[in-house]
Amino acid sequence: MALFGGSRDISLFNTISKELINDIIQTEIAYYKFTLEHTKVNVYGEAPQKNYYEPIKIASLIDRSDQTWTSDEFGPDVNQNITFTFLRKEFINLNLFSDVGDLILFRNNFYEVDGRIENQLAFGKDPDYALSTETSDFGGNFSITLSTHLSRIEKLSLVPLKGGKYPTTVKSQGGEANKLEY
Amino acid sequence: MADNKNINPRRPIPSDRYDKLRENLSSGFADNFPVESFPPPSNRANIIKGDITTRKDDTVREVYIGLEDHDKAIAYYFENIIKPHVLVNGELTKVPVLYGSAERFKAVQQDGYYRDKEGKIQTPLIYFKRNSVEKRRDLGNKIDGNNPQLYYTFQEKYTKKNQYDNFSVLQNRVPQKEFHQVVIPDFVTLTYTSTIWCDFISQMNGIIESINYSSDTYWGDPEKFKFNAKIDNFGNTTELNVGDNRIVKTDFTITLQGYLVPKSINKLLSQKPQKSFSKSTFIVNNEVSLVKLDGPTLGRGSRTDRVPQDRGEVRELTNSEGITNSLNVEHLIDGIGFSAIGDDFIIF
Repeated sequence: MALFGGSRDISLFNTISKELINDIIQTEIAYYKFTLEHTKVNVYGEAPQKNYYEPIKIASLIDRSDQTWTSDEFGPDVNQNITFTFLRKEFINLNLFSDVGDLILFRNNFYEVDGRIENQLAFGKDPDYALSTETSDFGGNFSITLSTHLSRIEKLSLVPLKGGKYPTTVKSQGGEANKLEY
Repeated sequence: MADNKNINPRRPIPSDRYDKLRENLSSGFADNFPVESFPPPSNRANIIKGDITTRKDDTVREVYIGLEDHDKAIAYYFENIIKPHVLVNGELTKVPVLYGSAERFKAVQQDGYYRDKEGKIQTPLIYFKRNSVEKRRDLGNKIDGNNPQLYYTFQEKYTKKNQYDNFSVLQNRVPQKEFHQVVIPDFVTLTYTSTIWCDFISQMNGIIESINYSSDTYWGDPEKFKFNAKIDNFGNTTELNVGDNRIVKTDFTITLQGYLVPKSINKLLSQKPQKSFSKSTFIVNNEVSLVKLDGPTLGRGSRTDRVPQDRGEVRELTNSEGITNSLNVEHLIDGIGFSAIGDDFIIF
């Protein structure tokens, strides 16, 4: 049986981290979740008209790299890669599952999510994947880190949210994923 | 004059040919020499005045076809004929066409309409860029740039020298024609590379189709010059790199059959006069009014006397009888036409 990292420890970490990010650091972004069921995809695997849920404001830790400029026949072009780190607990509360292709609004620029890193495990344990019942109450998956790049998208079709939360994902129970609850 | 040249002995001026000639003529080497007076040297160039035509108030400019005209022809055709458009979020959006690798200030500041606030390029876009100019030797040329021999002549439809009036009609004036000679151009093949950059392949398809439809046709402004343009193939690229946007690009090459008539100084010095006129002629029919004083009746009388019908017959009558003024007619005035008025008066 593990000695440290029980649920009370993890709860303490979560509470401190939430207060630190939301009330002290307070760097906020708007998260645009892609609505798969509203978007029609063509034979090339592309959707000229994309739809997103209306944005939700979330606090995060932001690691900004410098803008990089390249130049070709079209002229100088700029790119910027930013890493956003969120408390996983926040996402769970919002019923938000972040994924590649979502958009993040920061400084009035849209950043498209390139990758999702979910690898900060408190005490090296993830209770969701505990193999024995003794460890199911220890450790915790703590954060979600999204690597993004500056996107060209300038106009979005938005789908309104109900109650400030994303629709429930019921796919595991045989229903539709991201079903809207109007 | 050379005789009165104030020669500074410290800086002697070499004699020119004219001075040598004067020395020879003044030397008394033969009879009638030295010559007391002889014509001053002719300072006039060998000028054919017929070649001097004023270009004042001339609406026809010096014909000049440069590389920029070819580039503008492609830009015009893209902008005004092909008019590439794509659907962006359900809205028909015009695709900007640029010349490749413009200066930075132009690309970022002046063309900022296709960038966001960070300066990131917003697609779709098309650029084209001239890569090479190759001379065509399978077509005719002007033969010699130092002394061009082949010219193309075209006639101006209107010249102010042919202003229409009744006098010109009455005098049978042959209209004067205004010609312009343009040296045979240098025929060249210009190669352009162009790239279409879109967000989606579905947008790209429409642009490729419209450009391909215009291949092998003449591109350019109908008011200016048009050139035959050929596009043989389109190369499609679709890439998805980590940390960057999806890239959907299509490269193609435009081959333009062009021609150049430069504005260079050596061309202006060696060319023949561009403007010329046909010979101005007008035909004068000398009309004479005659009145019969005595003898047979003139005109279409009822009598069977021989009646002169025109000026020639009047002249013959006079010659055959060997007597001047056999009809005893008097020249009154110059007139118009041919008609007999009464028995004693005829007008040619």
